[in-house]
Amino acid sequence: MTIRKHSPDHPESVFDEREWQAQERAAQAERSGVPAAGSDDPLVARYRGVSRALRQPLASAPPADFAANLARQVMAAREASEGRLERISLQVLTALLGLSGGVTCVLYGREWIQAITRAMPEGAMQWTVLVAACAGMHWALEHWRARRAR
Amino acid sequence: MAPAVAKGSISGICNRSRPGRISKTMTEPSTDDHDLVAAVLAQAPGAFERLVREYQGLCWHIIQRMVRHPEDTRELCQETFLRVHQCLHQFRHQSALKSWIGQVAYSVAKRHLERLRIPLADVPDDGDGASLLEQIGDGFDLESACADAQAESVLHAAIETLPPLQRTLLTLYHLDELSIPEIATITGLAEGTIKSHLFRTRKQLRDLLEAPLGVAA
Repeated sequence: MTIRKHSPDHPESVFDEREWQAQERAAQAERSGVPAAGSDDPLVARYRGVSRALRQPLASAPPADFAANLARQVMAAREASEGRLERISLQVLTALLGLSGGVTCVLYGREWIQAITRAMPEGAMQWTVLVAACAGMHWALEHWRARRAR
Repeated sequence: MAPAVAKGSISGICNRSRPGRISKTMTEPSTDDHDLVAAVLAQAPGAFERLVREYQGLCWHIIQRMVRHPEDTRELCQETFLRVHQCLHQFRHQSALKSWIGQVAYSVAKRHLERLRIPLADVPDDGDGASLLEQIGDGFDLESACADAQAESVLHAAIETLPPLQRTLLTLYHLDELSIPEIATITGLAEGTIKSHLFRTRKQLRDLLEAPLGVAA
C-alpha cells in the first residue's frame, strides 16, 4: 500500500508499507546473520546488500588512549579548580588578617608605643627606630635586587 | 524543506532526559548505569574513564557521521564527554545513559554544523536515486566499479554523500542497532520522521544499485 504523506517535515513523501517491510526484513536478516537464499523475496534480497553496506564499521575510530587522556584532562581540571579555590581562600584570609591587624594598631598602637618607651632606658627608642629602619632598607634592597635578577 | 529538528541547545541538554514519547522498556536505565553514574559522581578512580570507554563508540559514530572531519570528530567527542562530566549530576535516570550521552553528542555535532552553516538534511526527493548518483562525484569511476561488481563501493561512496542527518540515522539504526524510539530520544526527531528518512534513503540507495544498468543501457 502506498501512502502519500503530507507533513511539515516532509511536505510530500511517499511511504510504501510493502517496501518498508522488505527493508526491515533485510535489516533483521543482516543483523541476525541469516545467510541469503535464492528463495528470498527479490526486493528483500536487494535491500540486504544495502543493509550489509550500512553495517560496515566506520573507517575511523577513537584513538586507543582517548578515554585515558580524557580522564587525565578532567582530573587535571578538577585539581586546578581545587587549587584555585585554595589560593583564593588563602588570599582572602591573609587580607582579613592584615585588615584586623591594621585596625588593632590604630586602636591600641599609641598605648603600646607609650608602654614600650616607658619600659626602655632613655634614648633607646631612637636607636631601636634607627636599627629597624636599617633592617627595612636592607630587606627592600635585597628584594629589589632579587626581582631584577629574575 | 529540511526536517524540523527538536530544539535543544547544548546548555539545555542536561535537562532533556525526559522523553515523553519513549516507551519505558526503551528508556529504562540499567543498574550498571546507576552504578557507573554513582561512581563517576563519587570521583571513584577510573570511573570516568570507564564511562568514556563504554560510550565513546556511539559518540564517535554520531559525530563522525554528522561532521565527517576526523580532527573535528575527535575534538567534538572530547567536548561531548567534558559536557557529560559537567552535567552528570543532573542526570535523573529517566532515560538510558546511552541515550542521554547520545543526545549530548548529537547536540554538540549539530551546533558545530550550524556554526559552519552546513545544512543538516536535504530537501525530500522521491527520485529514483539519480540525484544520489550525481552527488557521488566526478572522481569516482562508477562504470568501472559496477563492471568489477563493486556495488558495495558504490554504496559506500553514496552513503558518504548523504546529508549529515540521513547518514547519522542510518548508522545509528544499522551499525549501532539502536531502535527508532532510541534514535528519537537522541535526535529529538519524531519517530515518523525518522522512519520516513530511513525509508527514503534506503530506497535511494537501492535504486542506486539498480541505476547503473539504466545508465549503461
